[in-house]
Amino acid sequence: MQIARLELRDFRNYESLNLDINEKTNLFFGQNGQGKTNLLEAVYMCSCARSHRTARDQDLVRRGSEKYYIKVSFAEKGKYTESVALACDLSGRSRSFWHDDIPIRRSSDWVGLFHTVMFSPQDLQLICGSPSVRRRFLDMFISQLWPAYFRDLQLFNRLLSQRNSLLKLFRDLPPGEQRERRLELNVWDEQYALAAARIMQRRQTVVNRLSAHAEKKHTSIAGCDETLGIEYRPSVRSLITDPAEPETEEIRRLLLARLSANADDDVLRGWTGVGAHRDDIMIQIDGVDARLYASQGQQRTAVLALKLAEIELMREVTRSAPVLLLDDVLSELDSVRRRALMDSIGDIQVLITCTDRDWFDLNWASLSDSSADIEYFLVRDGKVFPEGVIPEEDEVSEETFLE
Amino acid sequence: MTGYPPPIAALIAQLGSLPTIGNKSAQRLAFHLLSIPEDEAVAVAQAIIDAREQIHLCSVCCNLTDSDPCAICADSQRDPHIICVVESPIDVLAIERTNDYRGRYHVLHGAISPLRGINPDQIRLRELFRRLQVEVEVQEVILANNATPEGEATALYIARVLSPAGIKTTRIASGLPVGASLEYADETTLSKAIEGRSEILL
Ligand SMILES: [Zn+2]
Repeated sequence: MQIARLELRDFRNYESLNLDINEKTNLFFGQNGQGKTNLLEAVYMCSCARSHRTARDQDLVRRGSEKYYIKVSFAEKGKYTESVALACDLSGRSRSFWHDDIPIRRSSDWVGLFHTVMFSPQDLQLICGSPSVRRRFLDMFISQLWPAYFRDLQLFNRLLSQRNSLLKLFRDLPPGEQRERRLELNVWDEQYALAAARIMQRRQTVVNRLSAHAEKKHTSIAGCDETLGIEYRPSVRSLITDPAEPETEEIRRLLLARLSANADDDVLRGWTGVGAHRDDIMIQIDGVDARLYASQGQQRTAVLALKLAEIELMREVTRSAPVLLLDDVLSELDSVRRRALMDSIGDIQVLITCTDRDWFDLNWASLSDSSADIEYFLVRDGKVFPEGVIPEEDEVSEETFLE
Repeated sequence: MTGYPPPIAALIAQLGSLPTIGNKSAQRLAFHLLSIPEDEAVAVAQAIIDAREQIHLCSVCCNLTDSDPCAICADSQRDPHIICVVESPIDVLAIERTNDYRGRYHVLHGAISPLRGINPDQIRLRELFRRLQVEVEVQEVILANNATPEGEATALYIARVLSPAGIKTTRIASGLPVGASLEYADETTLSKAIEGRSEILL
C-alpha cells in the first residue's frame, strides 16, 4: 500500500493541507511543536479510526474550529487509487466515514480498508506500561486485519457496561432482593460469553503468529544469546485449554460456567471479573518478565522486534505491505537496531519525522542504497514545504519577530 | 443560543429535546413554525394535545389505542393462542403489514438496559406475565424483540420466566435480509444465518 496524497482540514494545527507523498521514503523535519507528529497521527487515524495519542476529539480539532477532516488517497501496487476519509463534528458529536467518497455508516465497516504500522516513542509502554496498553495495541492491530473483530469488540464493550451497571446496582441492594433478581444478571451472560470467546480466540491465534515473527526478528537484532517470548494471558488462563488451537465454542462454554460460579464475587465487587477486558500479553526475555527485569536497551529491542513482527504479519495476511509510520524513533535506536529496521523495510512506504535533517542523512539515508527515493518536507507552524520551495530563513525570523 | 426572546428560546429547547433532533434542526423547525400562518401552527399544537388526550395504552396488550381494548384485542377473529411480543407500537404496524400473522400482540415499550436504568419493571413485562395468568388459552409466545444486545437479553428474560409455566416461547429468526448480498453482512449476522439454515426441498 502506498499513500499518494494526504488532505487535512482543521486538524490539529493544520488549517488546510493538500500534500503529495513520495511512494518510498518521506522525511518530515523541523523543530518540535510544528506539526510533524500530527501528520503521522492523521494517517494512522485513517487506518484505525482512533489516534495513537488521545481518545478525545476535542484535542484533534484545530483551535477555533468545530470540525476536522482527514483524507488519505492510496493504492496497492498495480491497482486503482482508493481513498478513505473521516470527519468529526464536535457540535453534533458525530463522526463520519467515507470510502472513495461514498459515506460509510458504521465505523466497523470502514476500519481496516487502509493499513498502517505506527512506531513512536510511546511504544516503550508496550513493555513497561499497564495491560491496557498491550490490549489496545493488539485490538488496533487485529481490527485492521479482521473487521469482524472490531465489531465483536464494540459488542463486548456494550455487554460489559450493561453487566457492570447491573452489578453496581445489585451491590447496593439488600442480599435477599439481589438474589431474587439474579435472573436479570443471568440474561446477559450468554451474549457476553460468546462475544468474549470470539475476541479471546482471535487474540490467542494472532499472538501465536505475532510471537513467531517477533522471536525471529529479535534473534536477528539481538544475536542468538537472548530469546524473546511473547504469550497471550487471558484473564483466567484455564479458559483456553489448547493455546495452539483455541476453539471459540470451548472458550464460550468455560467462560459461561465461570460467570455463574463467580456471580457472587461479581456482585460483591460491583463489576465483572472475567472477560476480554482483563487480558494481557506477557513479554519475556530469556524467560523472565521484561517489564520488571529487562534493561532499557533490552526493552527497546523487544519493542522493535514486536513492531517488525507487526509488519511481517500484516504482509502475510493481506499479501501487501502496510504504510510504516516512524514518529521520532530513529534517534532512539542504535546503529544495529537502525540496520535491522532498514533491512525489514524493503520496499515499504515510510513516513518519518525527525528534528534534525543532517542527523537523518548521516544515520539513516546513508544506510540505504537508493537515497534518491527520499523526499524531504520541512514542517513549520502547520505548513509543509516540499524541498525546493523551502522559504528563506530571513522570512522566518521576520515572521517570528512579528508574532 | 442566547439573544432569542424567551418564548422562541423555550420552543427551540422543547423541540431540541425530541429524539433525533439536534440544536440546528430545532432552530429551523422553530422558525418554520413562526413563519407559517398562525392557524397551521396551532393545528400542530392541537394535534399533539388531541393525541395525548385521546391515545392511551390498551389495558390488554399495552399498544397505543383510542379505544379499550384496542381494535386488535377486540377482534374475535384473531387467534387467541398466540401472542407476539414486540418492543414498540411501530413493530406492530410492521408485522400487521405482512397480513400473515393472525395472533395478538403485547407491546413492551422498550428493552431491559441497566446502563440506561431500565430494569424489567420499567417496561410492560409485569402486564405480560399477569395477562398470561388470565389468558390460559395462550400456547405460544413469539419473541419479536429487536436483535440488539438489549433486545436479546429481554427475550431471554421472558423465556426464562415463562419456562416453568410450560408456555412455549419462540424467537423470531434473525439473519440475512432478503435481497441483501453476503459481502455486506457482518460476521454475527452471517453466523446466525448459517445457524438457522434450512434444507432445500427438491
Ligand atoms: Zn390491545
